[in-house]
Amino acid sequence: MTGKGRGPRVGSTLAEALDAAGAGHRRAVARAVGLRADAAAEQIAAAVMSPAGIADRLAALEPAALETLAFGALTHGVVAIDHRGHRSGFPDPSPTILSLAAGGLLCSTRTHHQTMHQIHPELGRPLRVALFDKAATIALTADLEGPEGLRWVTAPEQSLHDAAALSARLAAGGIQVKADGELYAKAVPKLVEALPALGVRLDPPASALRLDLTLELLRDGGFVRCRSEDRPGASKRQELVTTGDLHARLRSRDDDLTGLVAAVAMRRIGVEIAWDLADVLRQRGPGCEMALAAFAAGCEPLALSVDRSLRQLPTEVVAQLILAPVWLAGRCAFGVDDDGVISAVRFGALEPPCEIDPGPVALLQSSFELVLRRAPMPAERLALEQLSEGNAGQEHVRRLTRASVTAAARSMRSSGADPLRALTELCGEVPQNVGRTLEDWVAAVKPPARLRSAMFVELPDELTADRAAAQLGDAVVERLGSLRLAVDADAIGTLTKRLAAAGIELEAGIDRISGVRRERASLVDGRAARAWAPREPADWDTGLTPLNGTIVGILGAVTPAPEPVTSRPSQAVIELDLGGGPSDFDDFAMLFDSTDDLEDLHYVLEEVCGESAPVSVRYAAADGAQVIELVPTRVADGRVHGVDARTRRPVALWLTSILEVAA
Amino acid sequence: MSGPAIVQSDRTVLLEVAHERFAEARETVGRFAELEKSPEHIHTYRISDVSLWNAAASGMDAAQIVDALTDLSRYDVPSSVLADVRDLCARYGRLRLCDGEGGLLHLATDEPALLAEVLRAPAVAALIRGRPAAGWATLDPTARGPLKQELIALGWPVEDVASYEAGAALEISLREDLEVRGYQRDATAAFNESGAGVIVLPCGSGKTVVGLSVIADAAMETLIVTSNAASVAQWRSELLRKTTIAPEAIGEYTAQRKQLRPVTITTYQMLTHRARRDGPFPHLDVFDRRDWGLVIYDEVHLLPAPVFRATARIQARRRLGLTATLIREDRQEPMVFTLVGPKRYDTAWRELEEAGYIATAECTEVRIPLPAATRHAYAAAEDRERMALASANPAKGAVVRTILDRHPGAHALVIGTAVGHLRAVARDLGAPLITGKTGRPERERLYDAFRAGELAVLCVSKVANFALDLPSANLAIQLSGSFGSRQEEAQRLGRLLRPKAGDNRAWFYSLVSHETVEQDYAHRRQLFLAEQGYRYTILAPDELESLPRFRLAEAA
Repeated sequence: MTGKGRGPRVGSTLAEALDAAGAGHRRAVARAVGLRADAAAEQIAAAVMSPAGIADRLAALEPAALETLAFGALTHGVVAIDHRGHRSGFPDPSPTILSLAAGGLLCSTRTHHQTMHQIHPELGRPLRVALFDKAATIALTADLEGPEGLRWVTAPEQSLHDAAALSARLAAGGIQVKADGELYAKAVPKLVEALPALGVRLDPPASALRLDLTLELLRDGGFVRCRSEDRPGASKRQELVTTGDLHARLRSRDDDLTGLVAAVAMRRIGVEIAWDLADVLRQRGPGCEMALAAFAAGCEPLALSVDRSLRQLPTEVVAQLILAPVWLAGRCAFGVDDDGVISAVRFGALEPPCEIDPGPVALLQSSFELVLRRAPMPAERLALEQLSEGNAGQEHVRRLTRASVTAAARSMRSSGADPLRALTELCGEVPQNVGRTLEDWVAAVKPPARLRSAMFVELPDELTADRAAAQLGDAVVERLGSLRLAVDADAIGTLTKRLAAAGIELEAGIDRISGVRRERASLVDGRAARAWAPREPADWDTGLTPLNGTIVGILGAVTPAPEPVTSRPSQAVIELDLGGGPSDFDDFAMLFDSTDDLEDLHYVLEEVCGESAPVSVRYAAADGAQVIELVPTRVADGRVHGVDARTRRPVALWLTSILEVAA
Repeated sequence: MSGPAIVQSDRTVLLEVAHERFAEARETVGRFAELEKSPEHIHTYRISDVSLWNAAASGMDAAQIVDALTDLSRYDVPSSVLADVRDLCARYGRLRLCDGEGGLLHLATDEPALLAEVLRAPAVAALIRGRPAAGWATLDPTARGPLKQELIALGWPVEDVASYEAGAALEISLREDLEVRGYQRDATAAFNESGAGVIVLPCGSGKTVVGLSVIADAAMETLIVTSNAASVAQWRSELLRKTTIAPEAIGEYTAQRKQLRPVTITTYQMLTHRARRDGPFPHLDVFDRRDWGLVIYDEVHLLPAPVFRATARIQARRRLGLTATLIREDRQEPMVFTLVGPKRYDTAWRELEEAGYIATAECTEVRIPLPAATRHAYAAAEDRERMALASANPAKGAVVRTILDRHPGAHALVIGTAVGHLRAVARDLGAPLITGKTGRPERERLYDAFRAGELAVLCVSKVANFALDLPSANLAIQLSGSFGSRQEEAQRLGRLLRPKAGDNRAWFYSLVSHETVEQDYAHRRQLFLAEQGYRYTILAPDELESLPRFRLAEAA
């Protein structure tokens, strides 16, 4: 559901936005930042974004305004949305919004039915830096020391270790998913069990978070896909299986993978706070460490501004909650006591992952046992877990079994890797009996039989087949032996003509040797496959929402409205992927447009059916394109059924007539 | 890297053989953990409840064990392991089994609440006579074994300080010219300290001598239960050769003879024989028909269920179990430890080999493709028929000849489970064959001829799997086996391990049909030996030709 950029954005710089907001608005901001009223937009923008200026204005804000601003800065930038009333038009902005806009900290954009107040993307970074500086100062001056004698536990590359372990688990056997790609509840503990044990006791436990992060990492790295069983009469089972060559990527330790780990972690609301705060703290001095309570004191106001539900949790639990992904990404260390309970955090220099070759990770005995000599690196973990089986309680011993080696051979086949070579890399020396046995086990793994369907032309001899292949060109999709050419079933007309042109006589009719199978639309809908398709890199962008719509000035002539009128956007709205760039529909939350396919539309409408909320639908009517505010109730018979939000009448629209849907 | 040990949370302790502190670590860890595996690089010990209680019984306390683990461990010792050590050691000695009045026993403790707790268990309460007093309860001597079993199951080991029955006296001592090896003396001493337990020593290392030493030290009437008639004869012969016992004091309780004498030798089959499948066991009362002071269970891993029950009744008698392979495919090893007694002595096979007490054995698996015709039959066969087809691979006969050809002068056993195929190979080789149908006199004649060097090749079915002493055998060719039996594989290798003259070497070949279920079973069969440090070399038949020729005539 990414937004579709189709032209230059309006107000892509803060100066442009100020310009577009009108003279009244611009003059008010200029005065608020200490410039002359007629200052140029560029001058005003520079003053707004200067670190000293931002710090001054943050210091001057009321707590409610500061919280609102922090919410926007740490999420997607949108701090409030005013909807047009049926008769009353747009309400006036609240005093909080006006005070933020006056400081140049907010821009407002308007579509035909709403006004959105948001932080300009260009202002996002300096604003966050200022917020984190303030939080870091609180944390560092909290004067809370951690207990003595702590053990510092780092998790260098823990996310990659988790990815390796989960990938090995999926390689051993796929995990079935629901039609929409979601995991079945019963599959979750199985996958959690596959994750390596941690040396700390996170509160709350991080298993669900680790599973989510890891699956996203595998998905977006292209290391997992959803496989559908679409044979006629089959169960339509859909399952997650491995794909790509994670081992090679882990071994090369490439920066893209590290970047992906960060990007995935940063998608969690609130993580960015800990992440950036950690960066700020790290810059404050080497070996920066503090009691968990001190860190909590610094980050809590920011965290609560993002998610008010966190108020119900103890402060240190909140700190652990948002630090967990940071720790899992190897960017901080936890200080734990003998029971593994966390009471401090360190942001300073952490032990880097071992870069030199530290020798074989395991000893392989002729009893087929692998004994680990040191902690494995992520690539080694993947190979170890693919090739061998572990036992509960045996952290240092694994065993090669026929089942594990066979599964590894199947899994490695796609990347051309060889289990015996992988084992030699892990252990250095492979006992003769183990090597021979592995060769036999691997040799017994044959490629699976494949059910294929083809239309092919059967030629009388090899020479004619060669001539036909040359003549048919791209209509031939595969040569099946010396006398058969598999051809594009949609190109029979072309094929007939080309064969005739080549003087090759084609017998009338089609010889259906397997009988006739009617090709129908796939009964397996594409939702699961889409859910597990890698996200485009653009989705990793955690920046603020670009401006979308017409920029309006809200300062000057308006009368401040009472506070309650302006509604803070709900969490659900904020979590929507707010598309960027103007669309034909002129809305910020495009759910579907005519460039998507019908399956997308089906999916989108089913999703919104459960929400009892109106969506704007533009559809092709007899007298041209029309827009309707529709509360969808169900999708059936090729139509979406629902209620017209204005008239309260039941409505049904053919799916094929729908051009766009927006939230 | 520092310590030689890695402690895992399942309470296994891995010791790195190449580490400079290995010997020290082995000595220390062996006091509170049982050796489980000893392959080439890493030995595995297991800290079990029983091993901790044995350590506690020998005077070691939890703090010493914790210190030892912490000192030897390379990484942090899992806190759960340390907690278990402290908890389990603290349980030992809080319940005591001691002599009461009138031949009865007392279960005693200083903690009345603990007594009340264990007596809440119905199985324990059922064994108690009368009303328990504060701090002690009374039981019959026959309940001694079952009570110990039940209390161990509850996690409360009982310190058994009640006396054993003296048993009738026996005039016996070891002959003065008998040389008892150091490990045999250690094993005897370890047993004598407690009076009940199991000694685990490799095949061919002289377990019988340990048994004789124990009999001589106890000087009490003894019942010896062993695996088969040939073994009965061997025990008799060893008693006569190595001790001063009078021949008329030795009796055999077998199908042929029903003699009950001061030292009586019988078999598990005899004790568990019954006329009808659901009838009583008429010979089990042998345990009670004399005043035995000692019962020896040879090949204790074979202990059948009815003998378990009989053994539970005789807990007041000294009990010695002897075995090389305390593995049971039915996973009943803990029952052996509970009823006969815990493992008292164990040693790694390779250590005795290095010291020259047993022969150095080279193990080879030869993977032989099925001939084309058999291959097709195998491919089309049902699962249950496949093992039979693979076992009887006709191409194995030629490989047997090749192996014999590579070992001129060898004294070879050709061992198989598929008797039809074994018979064909024996016929082809012109070698005699012993199966279950071969009469006892004929068997003894052939074994004697083989021992005397008059027969170079002897084909045997699985009747020769256990307790058969053929010191001259230095080459074994295993044609087929009982599926994945690790014990059978080890016992068959064991036939070769008696020390040899010359360079003390022996060769064990296992012939396996390539790419068949037999290969999978062979993998499992070899597991026990691999865990003892034996490395199999895997060869194809044509690679045998490149092996050097081992001339064994002089050695044999």
